[in-house]
Amino acid sequence: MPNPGEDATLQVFYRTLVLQITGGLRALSLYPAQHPEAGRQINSLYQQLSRYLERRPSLAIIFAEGEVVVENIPFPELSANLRPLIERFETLGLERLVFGRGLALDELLRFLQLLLKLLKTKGQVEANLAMTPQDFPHIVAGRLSLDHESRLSFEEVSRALRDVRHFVRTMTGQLKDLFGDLTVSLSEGKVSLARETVATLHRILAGGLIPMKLLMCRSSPDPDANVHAVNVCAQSMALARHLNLEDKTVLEIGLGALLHDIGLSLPAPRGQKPTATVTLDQKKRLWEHPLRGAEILLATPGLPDLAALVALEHHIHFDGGGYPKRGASRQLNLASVITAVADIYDNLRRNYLGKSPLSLTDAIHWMDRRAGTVFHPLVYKGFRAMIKTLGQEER
Amino acid sequence: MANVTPLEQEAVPAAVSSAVVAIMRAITVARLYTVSHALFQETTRKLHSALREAIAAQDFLFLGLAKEALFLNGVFYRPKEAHLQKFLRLFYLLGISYLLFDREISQEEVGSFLSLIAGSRPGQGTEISSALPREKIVRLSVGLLDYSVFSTATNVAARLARSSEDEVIWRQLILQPACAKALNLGPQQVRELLRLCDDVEALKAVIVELDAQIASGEQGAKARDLLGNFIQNLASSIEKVVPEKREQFARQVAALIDRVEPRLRRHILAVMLPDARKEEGGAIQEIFRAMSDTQVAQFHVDILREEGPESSSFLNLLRWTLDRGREPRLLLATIQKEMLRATLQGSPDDLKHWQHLEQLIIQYHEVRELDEAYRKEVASLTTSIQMNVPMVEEEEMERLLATVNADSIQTARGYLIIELVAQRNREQGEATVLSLIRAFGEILASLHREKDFRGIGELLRQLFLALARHPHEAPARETVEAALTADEIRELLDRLLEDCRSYESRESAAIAAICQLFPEKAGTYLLDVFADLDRDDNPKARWLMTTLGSVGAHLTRPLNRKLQIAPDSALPRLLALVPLCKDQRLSHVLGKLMDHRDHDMRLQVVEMMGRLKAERSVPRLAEAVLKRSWLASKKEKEVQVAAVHALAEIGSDEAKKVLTQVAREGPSDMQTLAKELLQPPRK
Repeated sequence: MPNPGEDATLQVFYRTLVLQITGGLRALSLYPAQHPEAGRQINSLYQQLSRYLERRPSLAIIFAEGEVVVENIPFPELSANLRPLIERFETLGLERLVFGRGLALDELLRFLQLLLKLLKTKGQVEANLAMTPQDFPHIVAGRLSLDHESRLSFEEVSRALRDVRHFVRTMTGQLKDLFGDLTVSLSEGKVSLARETVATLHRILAGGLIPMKLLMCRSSPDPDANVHAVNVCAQSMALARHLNLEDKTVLEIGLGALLHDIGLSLPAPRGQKPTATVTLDQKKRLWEHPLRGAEILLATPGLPDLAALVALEHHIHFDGGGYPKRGASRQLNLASVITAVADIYDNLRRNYLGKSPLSLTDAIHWMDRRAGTVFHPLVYKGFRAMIKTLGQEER
Repeated sequence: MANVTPLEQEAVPAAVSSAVVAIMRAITVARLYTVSHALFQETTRKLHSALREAIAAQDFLFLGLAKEALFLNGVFYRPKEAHLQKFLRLFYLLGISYLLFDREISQEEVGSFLSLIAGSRPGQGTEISSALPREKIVRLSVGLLDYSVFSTATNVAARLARSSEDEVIWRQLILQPACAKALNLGPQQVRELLRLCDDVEALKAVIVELDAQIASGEQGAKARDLLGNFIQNLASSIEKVVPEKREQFARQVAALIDRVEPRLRRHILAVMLPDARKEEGGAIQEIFRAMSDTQVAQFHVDILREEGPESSSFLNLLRWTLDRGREPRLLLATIQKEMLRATLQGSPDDLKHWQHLEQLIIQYHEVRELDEAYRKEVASLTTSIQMNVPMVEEEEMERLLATVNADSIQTARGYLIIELVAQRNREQGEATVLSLIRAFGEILASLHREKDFRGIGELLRQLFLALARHPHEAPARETVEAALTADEIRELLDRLLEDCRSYESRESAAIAAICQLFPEKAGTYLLDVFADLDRDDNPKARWLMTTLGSVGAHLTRPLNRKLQIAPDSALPRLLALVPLCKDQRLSHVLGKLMDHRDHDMRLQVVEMMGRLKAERSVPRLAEAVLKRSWLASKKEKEVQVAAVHALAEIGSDEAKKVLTQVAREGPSDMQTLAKELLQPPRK
């Protein structure tokens, strides 16, 4: 359990630290580095950081969407006071600033000088640091790197993204009620809950309350089916919006995507000893879940028909492959092909069926090879464009 | 020849024993480690090597698995080693009776098979077998034979063999798929094979015996594979030892097929047709090609009747017919002829199977065409998008957007329901099916309001096939029937008939399906159309006759009404439908029509009374036949003759009593006829 007193002290410390960084930059902009005032400011900042890094391996500050977040604690008052500076940071591509243990005074000073220079001119912080990595061994600065290839550890990234996770967890908590105790159809209450969940997600995405790129680009190793449902729902709606579909259709697609795997939530048969391998019963359940899901959704009053279609078709490939097998190849529904892209993408990025998650790059490469066979080529093209727009292919 | 090969042994050959050890070890590992784990990979690799060693120079490794014995190369081994006993017990509990490993089996296939077995429960043999293709395991097959086949094979082999070595060979020929290459035939066995090749009666005796033994087993349908194994193995063995006799043996098999009873002929043909997707058919292909369209159609309808539309035999047969050069149009024309014949013969049950077959062939052909068109479309679209052709992208986006509009979704929902119903999921209860069908009914009603008659026709055609032989077929049909009113059906058929020109199978398939699903409502309307026809010898008249015949059991009320009000010109063709109704309630109206002013009509009415086997008509017929008159005209006598024949056809006690009375005291010329007809039919 965190100590409330300690939390409050930490918050004061973090706030002071951010102000000291801005103070240091201001001093360096007014005085040369050798000036006593500049020296005092930089020294003070360094002392604070060193004390902190003696106890923790790193300290991460996020500047994103006009917000300042230190070690996952948002500081709205700083966000308001430092708005021009944060906006300038964003144009420089400075979304995260991480100081690691072993930081030296000289390294800190040179970094602040470089940053100041960039603030006055143009250029990407990340790009400039990358040119001289040996000069800044204990500082990581640049865009939010949300993948395993980053120099940040997964723990650091996930800590920085705890807000997002917290949001996803809150959502998935609600979904436990939605997907629990399933029978042949969903009750009125469950339908309302599903609609509310989708509407909330849509509002959050449309309003930019949680950056889409955080939802899209972080890997979600959590194998929890509810987390998967939220991710697929959010990603499908994002893709539908990217394809300029009407809001009403986006919401219906979101509903289908949220419920796409509902056939897997039916009670599992019992009686088999647990094995490391996926059992035949589990496989059968997996092969049949599109049909069972579609049955449940068709029998549920108050749901759009798209939801049942998505449940049935989300594992059918564009070229007619996949499952369940159909009598004849038929054109798939747009909602189904969108959900299929999001579903496979999220499955590749999580622990699923005994397979480890792929990195963003590997997942995209895997998917690229299947455009036109597994995925509808045009919808997949939209997906690639969306990923690009989200800024994850800059490197 | 002296008995030198023991038919039962204990010591399993070392290479096979090692492979079994590797299988059991690998299954244990698969239960403890995931497929990506290094240990799983390593054990799979070792098992793959062990299997390759056990297969050695052969093409296959066949392991027959009885409860306590391993069948290998014609010998039953009763092993003492614990791992072998565990192995046999494991597969016995799963319900798997043999494993057939192809020498080209890959390590990936071995790994997937291990995962399947490790994750299975006792009794899941059938599910394992059907999971193989889905898991991309193609060079391994599992058998689900009734265990009694081992004793069947042993019994037949023992009778045919002259020594224990012979017996080993016969067992392999019967039990083991594709065993010819592995057999080492001695001179005695080669002589025996040549005898079977030369003497069709000897071959027939062996096949009939094997069939009789199989028929006494519990799982006749699956055990029939033994017949296929045996004939194919004989053919391959003959080809191996005396290649020049290959064609002669093919001719002998053809002769054999002609000499056995129809049921066995069908079985031999069905089991001998290899998988149409993979193999050439050899001799059997020639036999099949030589069959006329009528024979092929009859063969289909028999297998459909016996084994059902989803049986592997029927599906394979359909592939053979339609994927290997037989023209669907000609086959459908043959089927239409057979349907008309069944109608005229008053065989509604046959007619039902012919109609089902017609719809299945149309659907298969359509699916093939649609798949082909879709494949081309997919390839072309993918290329255009890769090449960034903006116009194609815009058009495709428009098409995709159209899939989310209300009309498309409604139709898609209809097809979705059909797909769910067609799954015939065992756990899918009647309530679920009926709820799906009710939802389907709402879609039909809505499409009717939108005047989308063609859309309704297509949906109903698919539904008809989905419901054929469905476990909940009867209540589901009742529910569908309530979805549209008689007036709606009348309007629907009226509009769809407007588009018909040739009335050939594909053109009229949707209407035929509607008639099956709404027999009374559709029948009432079609009767009106049938009565109003101006000719009887055109495709429309023949089609109407067949279609009305197929819903004959539902025509009593409308036909009864129609017979009372129809003009004279329509009466003959309406009367022809009477026997198809098989409902004695029509006797009353027929009785009235016996007084019709037209003599030919009266004759036809009397004939129909007989064909209807209407006991209720007996008094009326008796009255006509026993009527004595010095002034009886020629026409009256003709009616009396027809009435005597009708009484004989009715054949009930009451009818026989009347015939006896006629034979005793009827008009003199009727007495002779009645006596003749009362004689039991000569054999």
